[in-house]
Amino acid sequence: MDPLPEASSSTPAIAGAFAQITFAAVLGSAMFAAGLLTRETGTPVIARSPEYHHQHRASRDDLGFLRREWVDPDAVQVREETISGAKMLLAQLPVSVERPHLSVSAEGEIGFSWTNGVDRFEAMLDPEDHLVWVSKVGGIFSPGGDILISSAADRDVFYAALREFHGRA
Amino acid sequence: MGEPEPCPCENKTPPTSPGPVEDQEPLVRFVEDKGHIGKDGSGQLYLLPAAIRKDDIQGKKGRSFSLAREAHADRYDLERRAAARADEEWKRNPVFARTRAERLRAIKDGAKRREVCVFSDPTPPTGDFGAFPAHASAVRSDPPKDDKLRQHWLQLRTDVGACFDDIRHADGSPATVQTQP
Repeated sequence: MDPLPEASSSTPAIAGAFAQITFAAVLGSAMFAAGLLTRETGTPVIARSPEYHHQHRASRDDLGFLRREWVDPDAVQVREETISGAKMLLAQLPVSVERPHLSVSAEGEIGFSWTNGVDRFEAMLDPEDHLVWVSKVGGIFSPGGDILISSAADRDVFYAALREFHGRA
Repeated sequence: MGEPEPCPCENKTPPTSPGPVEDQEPLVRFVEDKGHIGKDGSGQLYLLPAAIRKDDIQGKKGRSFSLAREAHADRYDLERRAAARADEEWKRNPVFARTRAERLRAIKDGAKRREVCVFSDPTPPTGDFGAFPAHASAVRSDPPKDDKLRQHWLQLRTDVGACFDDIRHADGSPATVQTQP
């Protein structure tokens, strides 16, 4: 039997602001590491891309609602690194892709859910930075992909799958 | 040697059980987190995969995906148990997600093999609650699937969540999908 979770906690506004500043610093470092910023100027490499403006979504996003505490001693609270990973994924979403519905599991995962009519695209980011997705098109669930989000090439595969899903009429 | 029986647990009926879980039985899942409800473009609600803990559906370390057999449960007791699990603003009017056992049992893998077993699993008294003979469990069928098959597990969790497409508050009012920033 699965145990009882505690009611969700809220994050004070000042903590949220601090978290955003901290996140900006962490994201900047992560983007350097991922080769998304030039070391000389700090200019985003993807600035020339039409998707450039999406990277600014991350600094505006408050994903504090994902920091849920659980009573279950076996439950895993979502890690800050996982939240940072989610922000990175959201920041680089293709222009044609809406922001997903986000959810958090008692195993420290963050879920990303998109719909297109009655079709669904479900992705899950786990604490080890694996991003897995499946889709349901025409009433049938199909396997999607399994990547490490630290790989820019892998992330491109994910975004391509999202574009394809959303490109369906 | 033939394939193992996928759901031997369904053939066992513990002494305090009201009986085996019938295919047509309505089963209730308490919705614990407001973010766990999804909605498609037609307005259809369902449980998102985050609502189905992998460890539970895997049956890891004696865990299981908990369900309540509505036909065998006292309504007040059911609401009290659901409230204990619910988000703060739902405590006065918790949310139930419903399906029938046959829908979970109908989930099949690529080889057309049953994926989910549903069985009677009465629980002893715990904390503020008495024994719960109407408790049922859902777990993945035998033989166990490799833990590293992440796409498989996500698909199974998504499939299970999709079975719970009747989601309402205890008073019958419709549940709503969480608005996010």
